[in-house]
Amino acid sequence: MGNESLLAIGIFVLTYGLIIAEKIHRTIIAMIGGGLMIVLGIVSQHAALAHIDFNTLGLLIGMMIIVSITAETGLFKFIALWAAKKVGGRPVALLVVFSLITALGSSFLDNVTTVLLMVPVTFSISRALKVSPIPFLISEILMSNIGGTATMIGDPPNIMIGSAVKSLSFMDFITNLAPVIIIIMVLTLLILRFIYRKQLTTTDEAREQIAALDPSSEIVDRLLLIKSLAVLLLTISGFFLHQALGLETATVALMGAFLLLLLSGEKQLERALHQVEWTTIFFFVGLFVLVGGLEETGMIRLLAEQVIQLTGGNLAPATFLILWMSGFASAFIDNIPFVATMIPLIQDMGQMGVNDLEPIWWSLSLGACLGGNGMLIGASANLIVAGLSGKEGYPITFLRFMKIGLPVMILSLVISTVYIYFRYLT
Amino acid sequence: MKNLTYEVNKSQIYLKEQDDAGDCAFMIQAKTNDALNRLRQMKIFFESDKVSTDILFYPQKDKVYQVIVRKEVYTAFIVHLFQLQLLKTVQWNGIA
Repeated sequence: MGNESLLAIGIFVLTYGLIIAEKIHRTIIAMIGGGLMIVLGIVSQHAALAHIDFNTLGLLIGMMIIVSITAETGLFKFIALWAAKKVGGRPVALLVVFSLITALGSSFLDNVTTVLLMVPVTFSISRALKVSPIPFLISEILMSNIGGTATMIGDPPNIMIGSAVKSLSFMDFITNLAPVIIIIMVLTLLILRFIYRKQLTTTDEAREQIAALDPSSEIVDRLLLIKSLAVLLLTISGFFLHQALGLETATVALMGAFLLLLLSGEKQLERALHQVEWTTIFFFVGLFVLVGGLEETGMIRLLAEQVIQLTGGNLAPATFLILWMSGFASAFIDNIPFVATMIPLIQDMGQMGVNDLEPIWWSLSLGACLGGNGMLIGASANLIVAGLSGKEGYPITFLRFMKIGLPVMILSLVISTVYIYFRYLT
Repeated sequence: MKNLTYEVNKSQIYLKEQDDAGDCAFMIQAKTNDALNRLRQMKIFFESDKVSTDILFYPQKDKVYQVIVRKEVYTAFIVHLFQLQLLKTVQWNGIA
């Protein structure tokens, strides 16, 4: 192992450690770590640029723009109020529909955006029903991570995997991941229903208040709503057809975003671009360069060799190792840097003779996304909901969440293990 | 709140206030489209502030909003109605 390799490992471990410590913003750490890889000559600037996956970045930016403009119309509030009214304000039914809305929303939109849209409505409806918002909020956290696993654009790990593995299409993600996600969702809801059975009761008077709601009042700009829905539909159709059209998902998302900006007028441009989470985008940039440094020095290849040695080069043990390791790692650390490191490692395993990588990709996706449910610090959406809830006087502590999140995560990984075994390994 | 009184602008809104589980519940009906727009502005204002649950708006049919206001932000809510000219007067009673 040369000096360059040791230096690359040193920068990587230090950066990872500082990201986990959360004392300094993760974006600053990742960018400095990536920058050091270039400054110290481990990776050239040209190679660093080549390591940045612009498809992942473009897809994220495009979807952030579309969602921020669509949210302005009041559509998401309308859907939540309409659903609450449809189920007659019955708390158990409401838990199910809010969970389903969150899961569905997270499968096509960013998880953080989805929970930011759902949480205020949840507070509003639970107050009207005079029930605690905690069961709904915990369920929304869990469902945002579960639902986000079902599609290629639902969660950053899937976006990264989809971008890195060109043979996997948008439809491949749905057909391979959605079945197991539906099973996990149903079981999680049954568990939550059992745990919170005593809290999910209300009075007829409170339910009448929900019945009196007029969800259509939430739509504040009907013309923009029509334009947003049309573009959203067109963009999602584009995702389904991206391979047939020979287009990358980033092209589809960015074309959708700028078409919507063209239709909605320049007044939306500044605001929509301001709403893009640039901290997340630059976090990705830093990480791609950082992992690029490890790749350039052959460290990823060395790690892949270790994994193959550990599993004897057999597909089944390698698949389950990736699934469970990803799950537990993602419960404690950010799944984005973890997946950024695992992608080249798995690609190297392919070059070393592991023939069918598909089960390993699905294991990485399921582990990294579902692992986020294990701990409160496992995903950004978890922390955002907990932060909002605490501010409103309903604290979701680390332990309170872990008591539900960890069993749900372990159950999810067990179900995923069985699913992967029977679907791909027998 | 006993020491804060107000006079409703009856040409713009109908307003009824009552206690609701320790908070104050207002039933406000806009009588004009202009008043309805002002209520919507107020909803956007309070929904975009730092705390979501201090003032909750529930839209109903016939230009009606049910608004649930926590005691600690009661004054801010009344002053905002006054600022939007949906109240004609606001007055403190019994203060030095």
